[in-house]
Amino acid sequence: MSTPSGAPTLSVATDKPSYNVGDMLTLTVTYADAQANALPLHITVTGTDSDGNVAAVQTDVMVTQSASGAVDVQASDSFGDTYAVVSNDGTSQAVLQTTVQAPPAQVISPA
Amino acid sequence: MTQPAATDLEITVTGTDADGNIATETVTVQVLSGGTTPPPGFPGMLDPETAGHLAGDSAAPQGRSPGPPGPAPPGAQLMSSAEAQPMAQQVQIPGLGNATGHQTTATASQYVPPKVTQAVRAQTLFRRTGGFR
Repeated sequence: MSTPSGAPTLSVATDKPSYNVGDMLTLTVTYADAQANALPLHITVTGTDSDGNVAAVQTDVMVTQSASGAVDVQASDSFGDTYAVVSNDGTSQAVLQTTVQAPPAQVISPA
Repeated sequence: MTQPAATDLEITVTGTDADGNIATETVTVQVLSGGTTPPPGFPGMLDPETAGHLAGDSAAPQGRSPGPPGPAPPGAQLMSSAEAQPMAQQVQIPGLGNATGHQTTATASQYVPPKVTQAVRAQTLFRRTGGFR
């Protein structure tokens, strides 16, 4: 994601890639405010098996060059779930949770 | 048993710093709206997806309140929210796990007491035959 200059930098991770309706969903938000001059660090991990087959995966983390102040974090989603801020350490990380509700009915125009 | 339908859930996170600067980040996960897989049911129980194509809706079993709406079955025509709501209620029956509302009730209505009835009839016939002898 590209963040405009002067804006905080956010990185979001969910605790699972897939959920059932009714599951608890936990969001971990890593942040840095504009003064922290956060830069993304791209990490590539490569695995090679005995046959020489290679697989690679990439992940990004944030590297801050100075301490960050608190960032107020909120979340919303396409199902209309309500997120509660479980914690916010005031420097780099917030944790939010919700219970996944059933998806809303889709609206289409009559055929 | 078919797999429950997966729906994308798009989560938008907004961060606001002390100066009022705002940043947003979006992440997408999948939600299996069919809920947990129900255990094997009684003979004649329809697959939930098949039951979803049955016409008409049944009321939720007495004493059980309908839950949130589930997904439309594949191939079904989507309707407006007001129309679709009654067709997609979720009902939980102890021992059956979660299933999509009208599918569950349709499943219950499909239960046919199997061979016990036939055995009783056979016994009755035998007695009648013996009586005539």
